[in-house]
Amino acid sequence: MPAPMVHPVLKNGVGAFIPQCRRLVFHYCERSGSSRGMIEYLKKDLIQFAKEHPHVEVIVTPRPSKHPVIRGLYLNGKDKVVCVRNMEPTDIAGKVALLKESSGNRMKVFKKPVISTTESVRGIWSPFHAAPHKI
Amino acid sequence: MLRSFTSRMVGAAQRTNSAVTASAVRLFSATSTATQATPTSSTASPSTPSSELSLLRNQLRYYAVAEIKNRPYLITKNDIIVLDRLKDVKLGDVIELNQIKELGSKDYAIQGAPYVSSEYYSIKATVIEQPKGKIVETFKKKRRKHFQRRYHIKPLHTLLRVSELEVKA
Repeated sequence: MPAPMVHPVLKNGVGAFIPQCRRLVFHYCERSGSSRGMIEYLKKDLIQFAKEHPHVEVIVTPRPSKHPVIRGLYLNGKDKVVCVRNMEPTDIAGKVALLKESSGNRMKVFKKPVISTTESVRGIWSPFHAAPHKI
Repeated sequence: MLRSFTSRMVGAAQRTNSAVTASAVRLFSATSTATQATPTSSTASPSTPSSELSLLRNQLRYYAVAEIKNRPYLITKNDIIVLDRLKDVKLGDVIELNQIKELGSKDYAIQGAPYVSSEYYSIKATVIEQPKGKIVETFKKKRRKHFQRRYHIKPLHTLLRVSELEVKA
């Protein structure tokens, strides 16, 4: 019988930090007007971005007759797609930063200020092991 | 100020921790100032708290109540802190937390006045992610008054991973 798969407990940031975004794919159309800002961004700002982030693989591919799109691929295998039709280069840079800084996890509501998997340090309160209530 | 907690043993055997009960009331000023506001009757405040720190260091695990942007976060090592977006921080930056209100373990805690002296600990956090949260909708209505509003917020966060939480000797 084969040995069961052992999943390592990953705590990104404790020993070493590994950025989660590994690839950004830029799709644009040569002819359509919605890609105008995207083409300007690709010419002006993209090379600078790619130099500053060597861990991100940057791919630029024409996708004719479609709106311009940025697709980010992450280390957990998931991807995030952002349509940047009719956006100016500064707005596109903001979307690129958003994709670069997130992980592949879905957007979720953070209800608690601290996310922890460690046991409580002082233990869970038990009425049988605490000083009795005094009035 | 060093506080000690009565030991909480969950389980059948209840061992009395004599070291804890003997030092149940022992207070000292955790800040570097020599004077103490409320002196206790039992012991005079020692100038070097190394003996009290060694009590803390003999324990297994620690927690800290860190204050970041005037908000308290009770953290242990490997935790993720969810903050509102910090503008001047990049992915991978290591932040040293130096506003610690309380530093404790299972049986003892040092309470800062207002903060614990930074000679006693080393707490670092790494910026791991700066995501966007899910849309939060606030709906307000006053009935029979033709008033209703919908507000949508898409919060920006910074996630910090507590990479180091150590008590120094």
